Amino acid sequence: MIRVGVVLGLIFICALPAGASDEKVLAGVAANFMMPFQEMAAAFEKESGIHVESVFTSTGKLYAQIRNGAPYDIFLAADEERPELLFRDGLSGKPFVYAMGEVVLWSADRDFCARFADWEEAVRSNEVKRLAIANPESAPYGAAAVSALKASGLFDSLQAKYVFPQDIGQTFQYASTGAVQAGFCALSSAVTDQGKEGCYYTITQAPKVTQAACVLTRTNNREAAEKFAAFLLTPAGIRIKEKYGYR
Amino acid sequence: MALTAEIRKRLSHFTLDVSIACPKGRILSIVGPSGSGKTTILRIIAGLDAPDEGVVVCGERVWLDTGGRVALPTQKRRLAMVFQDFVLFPHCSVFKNVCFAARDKSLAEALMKRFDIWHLRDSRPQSVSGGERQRAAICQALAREPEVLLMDEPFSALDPLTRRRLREAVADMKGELGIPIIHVTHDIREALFLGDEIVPVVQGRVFHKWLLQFMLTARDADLCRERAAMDNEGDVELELYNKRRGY
Amino acid sequence: MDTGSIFVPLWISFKLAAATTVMLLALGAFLAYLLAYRKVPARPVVESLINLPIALPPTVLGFYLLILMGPKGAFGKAWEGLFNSTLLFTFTCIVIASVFYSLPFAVQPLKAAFLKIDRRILENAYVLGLSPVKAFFRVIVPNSAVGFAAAAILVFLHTMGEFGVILMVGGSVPGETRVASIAIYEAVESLRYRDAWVLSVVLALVSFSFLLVVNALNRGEGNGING
Repeated sequence: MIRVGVVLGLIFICALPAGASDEKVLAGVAANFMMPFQEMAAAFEKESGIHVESVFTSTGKLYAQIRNGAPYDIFLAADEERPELLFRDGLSGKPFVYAMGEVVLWSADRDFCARFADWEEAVRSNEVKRLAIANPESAPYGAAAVSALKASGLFDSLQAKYVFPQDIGQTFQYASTGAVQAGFCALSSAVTDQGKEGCYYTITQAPKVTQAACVLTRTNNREAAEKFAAFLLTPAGIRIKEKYGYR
Repeated sequence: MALTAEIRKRLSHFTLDVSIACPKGRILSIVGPSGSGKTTILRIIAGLDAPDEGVVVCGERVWLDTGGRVALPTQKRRLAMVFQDFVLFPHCSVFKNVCFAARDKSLAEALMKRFDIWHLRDSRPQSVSGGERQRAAICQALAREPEVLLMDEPFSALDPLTRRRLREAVADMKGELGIPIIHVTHDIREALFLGDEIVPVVQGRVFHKWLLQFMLTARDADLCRERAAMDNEGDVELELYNKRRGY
Repeated sequence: MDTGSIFVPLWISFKLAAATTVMLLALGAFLAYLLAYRKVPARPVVESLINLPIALPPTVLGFYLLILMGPKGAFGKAWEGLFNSTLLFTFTCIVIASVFYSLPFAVQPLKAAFLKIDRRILENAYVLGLSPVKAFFRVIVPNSAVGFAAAAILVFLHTMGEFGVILMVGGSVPGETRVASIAIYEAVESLRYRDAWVLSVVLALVSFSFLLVVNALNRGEGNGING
């Protein structure tokens, strides 16, 4: 019994917010946006004194959590669809676009990009035995890659090469470990330090990935959450996200 | 075809150091208090244990010679062993157990009829009595048509009546079998009854005096009488015994 | 991307579980035999390695296997040299991964079953002229039926429910490595909750009925001993 009590006590202590600031915002953030988000949250806290806590995971999971009552104040998705669905059902305020992402063809091999004229030649070559595309059903970057492949008329002929990681993070992981020779990654991954050890092709045919956010209806910190939402679109916020490959 | 064995092995409290020889058609009884190393001798002859030094020869075949680096694995030594407790295979019927190593099923049948367990052929060993199980174990050993028969306290776990009957059955068969039989027991009566030659082993060494002392005490006068009653040759065990050993 | 019926992943899970079970009964019996009856050098190290998949998060194990079986990994390279085809993201690859992942679930019950056999029964088999290999098949195997059944069912169920490792090394190739658990995960991620429900219910039913069988077997075994 005593041990159970101690464990429960520990859980309770851990569950308490780390910074005991009066105002805080809990954000559910699409995993691809983790790097810029951390810097933005730090800048925002400095400016406003409001602490931002965050959970980084896939948009699909965050969406399912929110549907089931997860206590987020603001939701930063990797697509437009899910915030729109929440809005339609009255679970959130009106969505707004906070970032535009771009899908690129990235390889861990630094010389990869010197060998082919463009990404289409690259994916067609025998050198690329396996090609990673984030699951296009759930990952917007995967969907953008698929529409680029379809626009180039390559999608069907390359079926045998496709591997479908669950999200854009795993896509980058497959490519960086050499499990696949190339993968359709987010530009934001390609411009990180690790991304710079490889090289990438831009894909003009791919639609930009529109990432939308929304303040959730059930929030108890509406004012703080809306302040943070506004900060995302200030020049300071925009500078940070551009640094990480978003527009 | 005789069996000879010279064995040296360091055990935890003493060193086992014996040499025995048993001609065909004869029973050599190794007798001694428990923990004297008797069973180890059998296990070394069978190849289940390895001695520090030793030679085991069966007829013209060398089974073990530590000097010449010969050590046939157990399954290559044409022997059979009747264990102290019942080690029939629980997944087979009694008949299948007896046939386990038999080249000739009719021999198995004949043995089972002779030992009066043919009616139990389809029973599982777990469901027959201890005496029946041990008879089956003897049949199993003999059905193999071994060149040497080893018996390790074969009757110790049986009730006195069954014990006496089985002893007699084995004694009756020895000439017919025509192989060396090495028999280990802690029961001096049994050794006196079965053994054509008796080797007392105490603390790992052949120790004739032990048996003499044992037999000279008052209680063991009964032993001599019992032997006399069972043996038509008369009441001269001690003398006979001494003569045999050249004392 | 046409994955065909939503039941294709279930079929792949079943195929994977069956293949893994067959391979692990053989490999597990061999390892359990060595551990139960033979002198194994560095035994604590070997036993810990075999049990490691219980302690490691599946994704960590999956990550190691990803590196090992990838085109740059030692095993992946050797495979490519032998068969002239890549190993990663194929059905064979997830079978190999599952074999590692479920190894302790085969070795432990088999080892326990082997150790339960009276050592002297085995010695009697040798004395009766059986070589260790023959004794294994004629004496050890028939007397470890319950151990084999337990190992088979544990491995089968553990593989049916496997997720993290396959997530890492499978790559969700439709009709090849997209197993039920991955398909359920993807269905949830893609808002196809109905598909997720159907697959989950079927998977749960399959596992439940297998456990019922285990229960029945256990009870049968108990009766056998009492009766």
